[in-house]
This record gives sequence, C-alpha cells and structure tokens, in this order.
Amino acid sequence: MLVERWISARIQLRVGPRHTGPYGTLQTVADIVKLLMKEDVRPVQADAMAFRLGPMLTAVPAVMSFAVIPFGAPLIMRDLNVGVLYFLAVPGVTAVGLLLAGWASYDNYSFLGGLRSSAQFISYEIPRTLVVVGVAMLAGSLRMSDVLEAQRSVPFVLLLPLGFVVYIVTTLAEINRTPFDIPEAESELVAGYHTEYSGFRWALFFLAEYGALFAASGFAAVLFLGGGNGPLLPPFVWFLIKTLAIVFLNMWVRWTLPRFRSDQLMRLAWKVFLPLSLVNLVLAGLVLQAVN
Amino acid sequence: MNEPYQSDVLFLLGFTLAVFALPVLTILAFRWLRPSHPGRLKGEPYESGVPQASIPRRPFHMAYYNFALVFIVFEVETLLLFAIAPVLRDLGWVALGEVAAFVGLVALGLFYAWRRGALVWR
Repeated sequence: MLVERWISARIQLRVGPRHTGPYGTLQTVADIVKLLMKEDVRPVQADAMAFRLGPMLTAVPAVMSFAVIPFGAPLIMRDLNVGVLYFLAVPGVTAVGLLLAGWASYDNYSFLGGLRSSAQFISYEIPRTLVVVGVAMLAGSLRMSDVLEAQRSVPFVLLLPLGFVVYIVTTLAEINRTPFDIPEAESELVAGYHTEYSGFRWALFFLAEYGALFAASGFAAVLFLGGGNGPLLPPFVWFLIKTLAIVFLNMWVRWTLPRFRSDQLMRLAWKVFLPLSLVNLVLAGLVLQAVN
Repeated sequence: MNEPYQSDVLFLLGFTLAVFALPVLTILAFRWLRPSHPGRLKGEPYESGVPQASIPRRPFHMAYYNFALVFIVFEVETLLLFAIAPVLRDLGWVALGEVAAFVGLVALGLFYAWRRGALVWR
C-alpha cells in the first residue's frame, strides 16, 4: 500500500507520504491504527445483518485464495489437486459481497455501485476462466505444483502470450482497479458500494482489493511465468520478483490511464475479451498438439 | 475418496473459519476503544448533502438480467471444459476434435447472443 503511494506520487509528479517514520514508511501502520479507532457509522435504514456481512464476504475470499499459491518450492499452504479451480472459484464469492454491501447500505450510490461491480465481475470472470482452461490443458493438471513442473523448461507466457495479456487485463477489471473501477467511480458514484462504510469495515474493502491484487498477481506468476522456477536464486525470491513485477504493472496502469464508461466496459468484456479467450483456447489446443 | 482428499476438505474448513473469525474478533475487540455517537443526521444515507431523492429498494436496469443469463450459460460451459482440460494431453487428436466442436458450439452461442443484441447495454 505504501509502495502504491510512492508509485502514484512518482507517476503523477506529486509528493507521497514523507513525515511518518523514516521516508514515510510508517504511514500505513498509522493509517491502520487510525481506522481501527474510528467510529463505525451505519445508516439507520440499512439492513444491519447484510451491512455487516458485505465487507466480510468481500475480504475473506481474497485472503482464502492465498491457501493455494505456491510461494516457492515448499512454501504452499495446501497443494490441492484442484488448486487452480479453487483459486478461480473462491474469489468469485466477492461478487456476492459487493452486491450485498451495496444493497444493504440503503443508499442510491451504493446500490448502483454494488450492481455495477457484480455485473463487471461476472462479465470478466468468463474470459479469465477460459484463459486458465488453456493453461490447464498444457499443464495436464489442476494442481499448482504440477503447473509449475510443466513450465520447468518453457514458461507458458511464451506458449500463450495472448492468454497472458487477456489474463492480466481481465484481472485488473475483476479487482475493480482503474481503468476498470466504474463501481467506485468517485466522480459519479461518490465511492460506489462502500460509500456508507467507515472505520474497520471500510478497511476490509481495501484489504480485499490489495489482497486480491497480490493473490491474482501471484497466480499469474505461477500460471504464466513459472512461479519459483529460475536459475541461481532460491524459488521464493524468484516468485517474489515475478509477482511484484506484475503488481507494479497493475499500479503503473492504475495511475496512468483514465476510466472507462460503464457500457464500454461491458462491451469490452463480451465482444473483445471473450472472443479473444476462445481464440486463446484454440491456440492452446494447437500448441498441445505441436508439443506432443 | 482417498485419505488426502478428506484432509484437504478439513483443512479448508478450518482455514475458512479462521479467516472469518479474524475480522469478527477485531471488530468486537475494538468496540470498547472506538467512539460511538449515533445521531439522526449521521444515520441518514449519504446523498451529497441533500435529502435522499429516491428509495434505493426499487426495480433496476433490465440489462443486468441479460448479462446475468449469458453469464450463467458461459460459466457452465467453461466449468465443463475444466473437467476435460487436464487429461486432454494424453487423449490425442480425437478428443481434441471433440473439445474443438464443443468450443465451436460455445462460440456459436456467443455469436447468437451477439446478433440478438444481448450484449448491448441499453
């Protein structure tokens, strides 16, 4: 989060946090303490149960998805035999959380924001999932360690460059980051689904966004860049380098590009990325035969 | 149903509970530390300073329904692909042709939805 601030300051030529701790390194810690101590405001007419559940259902899947990420050879919480599918399925719950939070707030901005984010989420879910099918075809398994093993000689980004691009862009859209952050477009929807949230519950939404960003980048590093595979350095370091490179790419895009319009966003998902992901699937089939 | 499968499920169950418990406990713990002064104005929904113009519990745009339907169709098709994708490598040309035919059908469905205007935001 601090790094994001540094990058945003650098790209937009403004000053980032400087005064809290050496070079502003403690700024994030200060923010967390402040958020924990903040009052928890809830609109009177809000649906209390759904209002509480919304941020939880958004943040929990993001954290849970880390269970199957291989952080380097032995460092994986659980090497499920359906790890790849698990990683796609669990964060899917986030769509429910966003919709619930937006609806429960009893606020027009939140309501629209919630609707838009879940519509966007499910639209980009399909091309993203189809691209991963291509990877599963080449790897011959849904187990994370097998996917890595299959890339021992050639990382999949060289075999499926189109798939890699589609994955990166659709992921940007799924975790609601600019240029795809319509659901929380400040200039028209105030803050979208989390307009009415404050304090720790608000922090949960941001935890979800950053958690999802790192998890999805790590997943991309494993699927396409060979994760911890690499010469000389230990696997964990390789994994970290690749993941952070993708995270940096995300932040770079965020602070550089303007925002899409809502209908453009849906058109892009269905008429550009879905066909592209089908093409990628065909390419994956051809590559598979070529390798055999 | 071998042993590792069951321990995987148990692990996921425990992990889910732990991840859920963490934010709940944090919120409860800080209940004694943070201020709480609810008021009539504070409890009103935020509408940029004016009284709420319309009730948010109302019918919404039809286009969401279209996209939801198309989503379900494609999502199920994608899940079916996941069942065969990992074993495709060992099955050879015939299976690949069959999957290609299936993907062709999916593409045809996309073409149909496209032509019928289901993918246009109206």
